[in-house]
Amino acid sequence: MVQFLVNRIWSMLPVLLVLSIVTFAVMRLIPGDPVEIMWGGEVNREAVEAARARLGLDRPLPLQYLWWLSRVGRGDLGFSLRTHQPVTEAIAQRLPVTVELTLIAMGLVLLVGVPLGVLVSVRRQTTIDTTTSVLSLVGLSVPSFFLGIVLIDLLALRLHWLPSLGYVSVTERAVDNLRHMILPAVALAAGLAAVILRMVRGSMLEVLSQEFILVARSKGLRERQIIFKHALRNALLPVVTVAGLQMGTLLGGTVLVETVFGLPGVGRLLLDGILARDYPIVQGTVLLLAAARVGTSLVVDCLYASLDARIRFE
Amino acid sequence: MAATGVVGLALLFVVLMTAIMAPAIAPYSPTKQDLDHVLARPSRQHLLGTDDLGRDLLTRVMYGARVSVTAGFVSVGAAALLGVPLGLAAGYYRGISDTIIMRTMDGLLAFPALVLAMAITAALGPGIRNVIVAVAAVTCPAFARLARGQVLLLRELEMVAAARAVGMGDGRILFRYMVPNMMSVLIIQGALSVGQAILTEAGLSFLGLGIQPPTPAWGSMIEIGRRYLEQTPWMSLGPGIAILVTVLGFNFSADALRDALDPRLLRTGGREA
Repeated sequence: MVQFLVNRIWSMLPVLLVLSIVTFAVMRLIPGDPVEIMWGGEVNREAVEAARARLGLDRPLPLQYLWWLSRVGRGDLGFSLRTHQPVTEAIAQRLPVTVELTLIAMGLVLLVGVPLGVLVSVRRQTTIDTTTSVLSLVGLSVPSFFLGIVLIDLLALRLHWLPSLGYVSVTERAVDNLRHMILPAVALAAGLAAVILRMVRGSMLEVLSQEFILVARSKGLRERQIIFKHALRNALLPVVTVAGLQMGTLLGGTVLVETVFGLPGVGRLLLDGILARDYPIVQGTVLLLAAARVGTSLVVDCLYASLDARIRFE
Repeated sequence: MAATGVVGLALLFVVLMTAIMAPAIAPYSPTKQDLDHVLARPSRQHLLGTDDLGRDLLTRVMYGARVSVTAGFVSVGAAALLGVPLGLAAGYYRGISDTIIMRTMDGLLAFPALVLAMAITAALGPGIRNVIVAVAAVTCPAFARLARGQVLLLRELEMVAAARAVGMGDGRILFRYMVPNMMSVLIIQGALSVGQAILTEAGLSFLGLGIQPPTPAWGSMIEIGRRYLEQTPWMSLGPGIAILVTVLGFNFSADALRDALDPRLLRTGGREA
């Protein structure tokens, strides 16, 4: 297992390298001089040059990249050009919102996707199978921000069941926090729940057609036992991988959902950073979201390897 | 073909015809303002109502189809034109070119698609051309991975060995024997990708980073609708349903195509939204 982990981390290094180069390069393409953005408009030339030298912006790009990388390695993502707050601090303030949103959404995805996937795989080619498969394609096709708006309109503005906008910290009022999080999490989860449902269905059908299921049946085991104990356990393996990899979709989706529901998360920080051309904020959040995705895939790989010995020795 | 496939193609036909015929069938000009009828309810004159500047929403939804469909097809076309040759080269020549190409693609795939697209439009600026570049960049790795996987499968076939034995060049082997054999999976990936590309474009436009007003784009129309949600809740419905129908058309069609071919074929590539 240790060897597997070492190999896996080793193979991730080039990905992280590409990731950091892309993040750095893209931000250097942003129009406008960072120093002028920082000071806004009229400034004297010498002061600008001095500030550029202090920030290292007068050095060649490869050197700037190495300098930036070494700082990132030490956990220093620089300062916001607008608020002068350290980027790590700004992200740390927003991170709990995004993490909570993503986790609740992932919970909903598994809670809906897995049982429904099992159900339709057992009731193959019945009305419920067809209906669910059509509905899951609708779920895949609806933009999360549009679904969010429809949910706000129906459940918040018309029926007054849930609040439409804003955020309450979980440490302040836990119940209120949950009430604020339900609609955004549903909007975020819908698309992925559809993916997982289809995945579970396909995977279950594959496992159910294998010989060991036939053996289990011929031994006279009860159907419930065959489905949950024998089939589902095997069918869930590929689903774990996909669910992990799809965390990236959820993380990307948080930008849209946080914008619709006015949640102060990392996605919203990224958007505000882009709109204000606050490039250290943009760089920091993009890097964090991409690294979170790579990190999740590492965790998923390890989980997968610990569940299935064949992977470890490949 | 399954019933969903027929429905999918029918939906796409309606959307494409609307996009092509918009100037002929739309009741108004997409930029014509009627300041006496701002935020009007749906009525006989304005079937979907009007927006905050008194522009007819039905007209703008129709013209929005042109923008979305163009952005979807052009960006996926560009992604395929770039990604497929890269994947072919990586899979056929293996070695160092494989490592460099595929590690770069993995690096791009490490970003959540929307986040990378946002970063690229932030760098290049908004507008339809830059949105297409951004969406193509996030779509390209899926094509490269798919093409590479297919080459690895196809290169083991006897016809390739035979072609090589009679002294056929690499280019001819790739484009005469390999590309035609992977066309069906590429088309399925293409259909799925256009749907995803339309969703990404709409997301960018919703965030204000994509197509800019007064050009009618579904994403930015939904954003305007959101601002007036309490007064005129129907404003977002038209463009929202338009996106849903279009993406659904692509997903239904891709699904039916995949079932008609081999359900296992697409496992080698693909990217989530």
